Amino acid sequence: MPPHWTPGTRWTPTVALSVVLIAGQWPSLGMARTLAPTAASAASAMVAVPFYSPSDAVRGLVRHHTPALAQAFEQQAQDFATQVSAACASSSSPSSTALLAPWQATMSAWEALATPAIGSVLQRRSQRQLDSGPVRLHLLQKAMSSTPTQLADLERVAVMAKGLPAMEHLLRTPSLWTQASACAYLSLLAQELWQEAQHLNAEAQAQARLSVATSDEELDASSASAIQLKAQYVEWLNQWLGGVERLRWAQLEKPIRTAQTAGHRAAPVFARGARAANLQSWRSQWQSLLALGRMNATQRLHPPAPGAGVVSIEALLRGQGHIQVADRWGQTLDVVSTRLQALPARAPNAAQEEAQLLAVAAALKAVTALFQQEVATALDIPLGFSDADGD
Amino acid sequence: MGISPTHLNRRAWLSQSLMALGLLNIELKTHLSLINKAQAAIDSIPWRGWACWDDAQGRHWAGWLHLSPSSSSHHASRILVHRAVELPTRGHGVQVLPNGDALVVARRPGDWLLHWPAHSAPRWHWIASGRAFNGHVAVSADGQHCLTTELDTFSGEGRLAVRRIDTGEWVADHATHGQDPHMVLALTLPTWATGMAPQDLWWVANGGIATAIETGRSKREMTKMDASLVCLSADTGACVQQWRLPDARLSVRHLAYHAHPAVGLSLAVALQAEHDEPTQRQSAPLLALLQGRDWSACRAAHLSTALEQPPLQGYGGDVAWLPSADRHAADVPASGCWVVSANKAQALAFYDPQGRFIEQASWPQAGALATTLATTSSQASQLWAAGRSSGAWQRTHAGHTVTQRHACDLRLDHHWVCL
Repeated sequence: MPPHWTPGTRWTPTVALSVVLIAGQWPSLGMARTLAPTAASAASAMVAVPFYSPSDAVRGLVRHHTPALAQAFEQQAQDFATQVSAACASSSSPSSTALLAPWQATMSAWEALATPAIGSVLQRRSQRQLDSGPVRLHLLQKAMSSTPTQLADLERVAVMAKGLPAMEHLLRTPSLWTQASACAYLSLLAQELWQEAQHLNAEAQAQARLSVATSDEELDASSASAIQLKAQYVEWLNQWLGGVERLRWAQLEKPIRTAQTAGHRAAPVFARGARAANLQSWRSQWQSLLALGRMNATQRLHPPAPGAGVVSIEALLRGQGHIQVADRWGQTLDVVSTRLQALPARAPNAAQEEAQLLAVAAALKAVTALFQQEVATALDIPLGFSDADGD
Repeated sequence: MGISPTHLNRRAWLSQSLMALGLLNIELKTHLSLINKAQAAIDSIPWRGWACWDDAQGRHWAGWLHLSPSSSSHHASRILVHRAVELPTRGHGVQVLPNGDALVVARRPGDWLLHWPAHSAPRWHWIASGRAFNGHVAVSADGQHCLTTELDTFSGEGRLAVRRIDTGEWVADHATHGQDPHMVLALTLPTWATGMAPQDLWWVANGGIATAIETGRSKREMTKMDASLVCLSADTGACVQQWRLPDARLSVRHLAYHAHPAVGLSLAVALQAEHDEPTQRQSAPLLALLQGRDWSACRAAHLSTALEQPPLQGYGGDVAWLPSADRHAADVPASGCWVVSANKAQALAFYDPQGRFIEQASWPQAGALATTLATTSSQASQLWAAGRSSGAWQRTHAGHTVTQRHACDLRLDHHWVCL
């Protein structure tokens, strides 16, 4: 074993074996280091995963995760607003079909940023402003009839008549789209979305700059900063679990259960208005959760140095020596990935679709259960989403 | 001395239980009579319970429970499922109507309300977007409507919704004048309490803890916590009176009541401490009482916390009034005690009618409480306490106190109704 560990250090033993090296052997890097085989790594490479503190995890989020997603969302929102504005200004009748693709790209960028909902997305309650569904048709019709002309006019419009769901409804409903006020209303909604995206991006970039400008030593030395970082850490992990539950229950299982118990054979009503949009939405959310839950191929070979990259939940577990939990964690996440990926582009018959989606939901439930029963304990965090507490 | 009911017949086990408790210090003959009386009372009451629970696989259920036949001479009774329905998410509050119908509501933040008629299939009611159920349901005085505590997910404010039981149709809703409304009680104050015509009132425990739908059950802005007990007019939904405890970090969560013309009306509130400081939290009272004789407009009622209580980890799960063990209970109406499940202290806490701590009894993961009342001198008053994963604890009063434990393979939730 090497006497000192440096970021990126890697060696490949001849057997796959987990070894936890006890604190003190690498005095420069904290409490413990882990040598861990990773489930998906080729040739059973064992890479030293450093110990990550809560502040390392938060720095990873603030510096390396959120800013890129916020920037991408702002860019997509701007593109969408520009295209809607141009379509509405053209002399020919604007095509709603042509606007669906940029809407979908914007929706995916939004869901990548907002899953899990942390930082400014949470503080500004952006989900409420931008993604409150289902659309209330009478409110949408009422809002269009009031012919708002500037963003300030939208402040008086209920959230269930604006945001991404209302935009999609306008674009997919010919009877609404052909109304004279439809394009102008969509354009205003797109402007409002872009404005919120600008706020979110500005705040994400500012937080990243502040984090970089403040040295890690300064952050760690300040007790106030330490408390704040710990709170952000706990919030992030709770919100990650909340993101899983939102996808499992609110987006997949609840629509099916609601339809099953409606008293007549009704079709489930999912969050988005078309199969492709729902598939993309579920996968986009899961990819974002996975990025913070599972070490990717690069991270397995080159775990980021503390503070130098995104720290996933798996990396936290491995870094703290919880190898068996981390292995099962990875396998449990992989089941979700496999089942989500296996969903066909075209919906099969209703019974098959229901079975497939409930299988995805069951895999997500297993993630929740493992998180609540073992991961939270291993990482020593209190759970706000716990199924285990009273009320 | 440990006593295993599995190796004794029931009567012998009761006898040994009392002996172990040092209760056989008077003439044996008298006690055998008391034991026989308690045993007869236990045997004569067909017990049924309505509850929510989780199974070993973590699936959520609600339904009727019953006790395995108690004639076995070698085994303690076991709580078994009579009929059940699987729930989509964890259930919490339960109500059973006089006609046998049951209402179950999802734990907060919840989506569904279940109406299970006694003789037909369950009916599901899903809450509209912008709202979340907060875990409890009550039945209005007319028996036709149910009341549910809810969260307005946009404003974060508490609401009390009124729905028709048979259709689930929303009828009205009212502000609870606070955040995090949890349990609701519908009470008709009789003439002796109001000094005028009977008055229908709704009592809501506002837990006072801010939550947001985006953050699930996470507690937010605890320094702004504002718990209260509020009394609403059932006629108008208007606030009749609102009470706050001096300690703002005591969350007001569950309610029970006791009323009799001779002693007035008392409303008991189970508390959950939310102090940052562990020692403060652990020694906090689990019970507050709203008491008074003049209930006209509730003005004379006063809310105060329990007295002389030792540290019980600051977490009161459920609360119930346990009528007196005295077989002449009809002549001593005020006699009895309050019971709070001290979930985190693994105990049941007993308080006298004025809220003075009496004693505690060890009971792992104490949660749901219910009492079955003495209606004739031949029947017993019984306390039924469920442990989250430790079965049920039965304390029977019929001239003497007898306790029995019933095994249960279910993870029972924090509330139940026992008949």
